[in-house]
Amino acid sequence: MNESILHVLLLPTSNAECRMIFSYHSFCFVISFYILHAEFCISRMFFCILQGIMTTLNHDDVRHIAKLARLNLNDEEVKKFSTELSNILQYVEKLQEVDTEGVEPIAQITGLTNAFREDEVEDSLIAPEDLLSCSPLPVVEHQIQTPSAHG
Amino acid sequence: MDSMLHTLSIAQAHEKLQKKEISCTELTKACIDRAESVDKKLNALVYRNFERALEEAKKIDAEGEFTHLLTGIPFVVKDNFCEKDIPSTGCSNVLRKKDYRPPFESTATARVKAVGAISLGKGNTDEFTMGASTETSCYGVTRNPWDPSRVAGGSSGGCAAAVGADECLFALGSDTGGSIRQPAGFCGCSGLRATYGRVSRYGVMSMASSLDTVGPICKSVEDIAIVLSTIAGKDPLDGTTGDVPVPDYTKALHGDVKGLKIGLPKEYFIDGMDEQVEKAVRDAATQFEKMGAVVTDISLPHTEYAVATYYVIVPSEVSSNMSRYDGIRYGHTTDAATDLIDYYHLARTEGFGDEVKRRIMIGTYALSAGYYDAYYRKAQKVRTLIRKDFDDAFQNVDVILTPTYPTPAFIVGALEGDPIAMYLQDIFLVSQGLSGMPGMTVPCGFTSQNTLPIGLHLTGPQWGEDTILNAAYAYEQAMDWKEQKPNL
Repeated sequence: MNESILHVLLLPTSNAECRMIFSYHSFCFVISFYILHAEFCISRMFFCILQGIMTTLNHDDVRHIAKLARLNLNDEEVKKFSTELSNILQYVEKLQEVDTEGVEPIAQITGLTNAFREDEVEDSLIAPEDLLSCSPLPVVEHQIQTPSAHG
Repeated sequence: MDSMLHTLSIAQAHEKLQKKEISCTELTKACIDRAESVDKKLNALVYRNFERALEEAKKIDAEGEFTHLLTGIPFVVKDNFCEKDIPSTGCSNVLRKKDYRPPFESTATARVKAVGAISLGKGNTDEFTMGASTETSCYGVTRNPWDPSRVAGGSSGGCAAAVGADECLFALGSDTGGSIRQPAGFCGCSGLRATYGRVSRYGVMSMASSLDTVGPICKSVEDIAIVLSTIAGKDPLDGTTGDVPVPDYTKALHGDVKGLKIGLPKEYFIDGMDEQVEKAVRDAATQFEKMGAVVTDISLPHTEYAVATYYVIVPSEVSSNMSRYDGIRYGHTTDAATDLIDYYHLARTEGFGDEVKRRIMIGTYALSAGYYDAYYRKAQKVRTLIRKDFDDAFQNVDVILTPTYPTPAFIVGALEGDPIAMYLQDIFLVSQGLSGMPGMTVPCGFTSQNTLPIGLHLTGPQWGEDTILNAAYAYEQAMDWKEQKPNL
């Protein structure tokens, strides 16, 4: 069982508890704790599975997210962000307390829908050459030359 | 007398310029001299445009026409605003290392420059406005003019410190969840976050596009009205600007608050709040009653979820907006990359600071497959409820009165390594950001021990800037808080 699934099932409710789960030696103790509190454990489990959330991010999770975001992290940063991001996720978990049954999500706060304009040709505000000159990379035939996509 | 020109408000300076008692060059020079003498202590300005400012001032003196209230008035603009051919970096190494000079001008700066306002330079900000203390700026922290061991607040800390220390007459900042109002309050200034879509964001670096707004930081409420009247209004270059007529906000300042209904939300008077802050705000409410306003207790029940909602929605939008910094079209570059993907990684890793990386990763996670509904969509639903709280409240009251922050300016470094404590700095300010309501801060007192400014916050309904400006004006006129200046 990988660590992420373990988190969903065991639902650590605090940092201290997370650290206990990470520790193999404490594992049996935690399991017995949850067996003793089976009712609580099962309801939390279904809650989290239904909501599809994890409240801690382990080192592999952080590495994966950083890769998606095109960021490199060294081991020390992975460790630091794993703690910090988990704390933030645990903080925002309080949103799950709010009953949003039947509530529409809001994206445009003043109620605008579309912003149309007349279909008229207008002069460009900025010369393409001026925009290209902002690039730190070589410009060849009005195009920016990037490193190769194939290595 | 001449050496004190930098302390004038816009309205006072305009009168003197028009009567030819002072020249625009003298006024500009006074601000530059002031900045030269105090900014070493404060680090409010990250780019100084003094030579060009003096050239502009000479031109305006030669023309001798002071038709607009802002003609010949020196200002500072936050570093996330693009000014044509002037370094504009968002205080991020991503843009700083190549000293990005945009080939275009933001609408807000274009509008004030079109009537003759004079840009003195760029104000410090947290990196791409992500922070509440300017401590994440690549240029280092801005210090508070009232106590340089403390932060000026953020993210528009450079602008607020520059106005508070009289280095300029006004500043343009941006506010997503408190970034104008918290630093303005920390530095003893007035600052206004306009209704979402009231002022164009064209040419302002995006942080969280569904909340970002532009607004002024000034020395008086009248000045706020002057600047807002100039920068507000529909802009074809920003599709989110509303087609709502812009009044002359200075005409709304009649100072009469008889019968004005003011609500005090119980959720904003919380445990752990500084006693002097609470007292100052309650005294302000009493002052409003004395002036004929009707003060009632109200409730905004979803207040406790505002910061959590904000820190799902904002990082999600950050992760999307920050993807433009890929080292291709502008910004930081590297020779070390083996291929394109490696180039993206290196350019971004070397350029971004920790808080930006933190938000990008939280956002990337919250928007990733399987988590979108639990985080972003859930937060957008709670956002609906937060806005409904305000809509319901404004059925019964005209203005909502709250503290700008629970505690005055904190010591530099005090919240280092505790992102959540930093996020909670804006606990009283993110709700207006999420609900698109206008809000403003005005000084309402000082702490007794260390003389730090305390901020009073007024929230109005969407497009109701005139109501909060008049209420703030009435209060400001009755008190003399704005006359007090830091001892620098």
